Amino acid sequence: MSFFRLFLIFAVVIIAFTSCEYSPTGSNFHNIDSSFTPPIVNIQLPEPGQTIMIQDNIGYNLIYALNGDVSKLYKVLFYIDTSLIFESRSSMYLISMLKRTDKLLEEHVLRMIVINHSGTGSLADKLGMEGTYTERTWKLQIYNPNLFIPDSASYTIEDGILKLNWKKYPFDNFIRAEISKIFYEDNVSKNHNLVPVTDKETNWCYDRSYVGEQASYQIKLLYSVGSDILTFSFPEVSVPKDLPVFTFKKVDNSSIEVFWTKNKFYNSIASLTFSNTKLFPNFSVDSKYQSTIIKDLPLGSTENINVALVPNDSYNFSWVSVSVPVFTGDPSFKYLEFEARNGDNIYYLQNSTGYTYSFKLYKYSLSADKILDSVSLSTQTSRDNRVAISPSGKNIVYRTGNDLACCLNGDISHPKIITDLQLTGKSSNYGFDCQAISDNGILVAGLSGVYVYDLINDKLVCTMPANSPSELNISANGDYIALTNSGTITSKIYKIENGSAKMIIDGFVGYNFQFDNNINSKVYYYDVDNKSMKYLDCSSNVNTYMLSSFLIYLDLESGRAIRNIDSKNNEILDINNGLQSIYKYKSNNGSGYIKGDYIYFSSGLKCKLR
Amino acid sequence: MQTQIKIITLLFVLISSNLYSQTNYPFDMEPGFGFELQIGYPTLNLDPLKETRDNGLTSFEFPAKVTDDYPHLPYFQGELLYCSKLFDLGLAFSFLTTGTRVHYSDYSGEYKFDNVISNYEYGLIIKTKDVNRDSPYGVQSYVEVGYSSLRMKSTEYILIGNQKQSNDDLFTNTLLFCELGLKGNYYFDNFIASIGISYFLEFENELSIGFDGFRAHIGIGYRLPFSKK
Repeated sequence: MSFFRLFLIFAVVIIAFTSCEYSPTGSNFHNIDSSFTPPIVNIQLPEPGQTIMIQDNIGYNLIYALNGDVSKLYKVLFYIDTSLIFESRSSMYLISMLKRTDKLLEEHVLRMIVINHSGTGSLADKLGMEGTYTERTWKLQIYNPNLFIPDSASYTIEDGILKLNWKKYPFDNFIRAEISKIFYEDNVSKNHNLVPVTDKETNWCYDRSYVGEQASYQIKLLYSVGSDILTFSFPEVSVPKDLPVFTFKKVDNSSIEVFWTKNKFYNSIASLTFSNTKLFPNFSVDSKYQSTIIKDLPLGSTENINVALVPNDSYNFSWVSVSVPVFTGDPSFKYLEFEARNGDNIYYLQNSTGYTYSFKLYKYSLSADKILDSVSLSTQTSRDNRVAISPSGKNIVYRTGNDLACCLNGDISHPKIITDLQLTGKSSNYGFDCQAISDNGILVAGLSGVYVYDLINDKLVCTMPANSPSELNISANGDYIALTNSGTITSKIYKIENGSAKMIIDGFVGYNFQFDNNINSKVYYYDVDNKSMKYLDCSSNVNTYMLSSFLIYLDLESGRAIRNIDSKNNEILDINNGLQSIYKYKSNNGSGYIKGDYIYFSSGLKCKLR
Repeated sequence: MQTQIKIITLLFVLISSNLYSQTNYPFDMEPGFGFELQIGYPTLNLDPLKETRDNGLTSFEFPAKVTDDYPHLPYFQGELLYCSKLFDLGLAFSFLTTGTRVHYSDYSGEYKFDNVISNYEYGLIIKTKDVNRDSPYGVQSYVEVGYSSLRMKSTEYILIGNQKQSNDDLFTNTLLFCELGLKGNYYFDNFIASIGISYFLEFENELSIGFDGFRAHIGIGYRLPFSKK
């Protein structure tokens, strides 16, 4: 036998060995009954098809409970889509589902499978492959409300228009952005809703209705989650006030030019509407201009004109108004009473602060353009004409309490006090009704009767009967006295001769008596019956002369008078030159008083005649 | 430590007998080839496998049983030898196998788990010459070194109705081994009948199962004729 044969045998042996690998044997068969009755199991859960919503960071507690015959329950399985999330053999359980999502909304299918044993004990039964099988599914929505944290919104100005900007979120289910504007009109908060932005790619909007007023904006994004509409709001965007600045300059007595600056939101302003019914009819100016002239204004007016900034987008929206103070004239002084005759001084009265019947009397120098002196006074009532001046403007008398303060030579701080008791012998309740003083120190005062008193010699000259006189005037030399009774409404002229009063004219009704400074017997007055200014010459025969109708104030020193044309229009006439018209003007503050080249208005303005 | 003592003892016996044979070798033999087949019983250490299997059985919801439990089967070995004057030198191949089955079946289906273990040993073997060639009886010591390759195959099979599911798993592990042995021979014509005992040792076995331990075998061999000088 060769080696080759031995080797061959060896190889065969190896193959034979390895082919003898062990094969286990044995059987374990069980003969069991295969019949069974399916159990009835009820599931206590949301109805099939109902949507279960899970909030991303909160989760959802799903409680299932099986009732009925649960003795053969094998397994309860829950799947989200195809992933097994829960497996139990209990008939009741609390499942805490916390499923996160990086999307706003995810939709899945939640599947519950209940498997019951057959109960036969067979292999298939034990492995849950023999028995009953129940399946339910629900629509499962997982949404993440915190996915989009509202960032701060802001505003910019683009080409003169307010532009609101907010962060853009990758909404799949964006509905719209709602922008609400809150502003104040007459201190009342108002809302205005801008046109909603419905394009989800657009995270800005222009407000062409914003012209620079103080406003704030609320930006709210709406998006849908399933059938719900959710919102979140950006923090409020406040826009500070930035309105045009208005100034004016006087062009002449009745015209002003108003200027305004170009504000940041110039392209939102369509026009400017100027209004003040007292001063001018409404008019509008295109926003491309930055000034306008307002003509034909009343003199002596201190008013606010209203400037409405009309926005380009003015649909269903209030205009923004700016109040611009303007005045026609030059500042002087406000007054309750204006008293001036000849000379350099004007006396005017103002209310003292805080007291109804307390006043302050000022002595003003025209040449020095300043107040020379002032004194406080009070009366029992608010009746005017509390100050009277002699024709030359030299002496002054004013009521204070129940007394009369008589100031000679314009010294209002050191008056000579004449009491009602001193003149009438008895105290009055309300003091004197009226009073006048002559250049030579003769005082005439009305209180029931009329009392003439010589201030220089301190003696009562005479008395005259009167019926509640409302007006008294005395000539410069003290010889003539004009009075008007308010009781019987009659006027009388008396002449004082030798310590007694002689009535020289009667039977007419006049006001605003004013004796001429040079001719003592000449007195100007307004005739109520004829509605005209007249003057009397009482020197010999009493003659009455018509001067002009509707004259209401005279400045005898300058020879000028004011004629009231109608309720708003007035005219300055030259008394010494045939009543030639010097100047016509409108005013909302009365006709004012003329003194020299100026008209003084109670509003605190004076206007020079031109 | 016990294993080391055993090895040292066997080595001592082997070396002693070898020296004795060398000093008393009476023949001048021609070299030639030989062939031997052996069958014997190995030591099996499969308890951990059984424990694992039994533990698994307790969790079964159906009454599966072990129907085959790693029977202690004999191993087979073949040797191809070159017989020189001083040594017999050759190749050796051994094979042993066993397995287990877990089974359950009823009308609804069948469950079956089979685990089959096979161990293949490839080695180089050196044997000393018999002490006295004039006698038909002789004694040889030998040493074998080589690779022991374990192959463990598992199959789990479930049949429910007509739904069948099967999982196969195969595990292999190869180790260096050494086997020291002593055997007695009976020579007749060109044949040899032998009986022996050996110790099988695997190195660096990190598994919980193995085949370390004593082995006993009987064998029959054939030698190409050789002549005395």
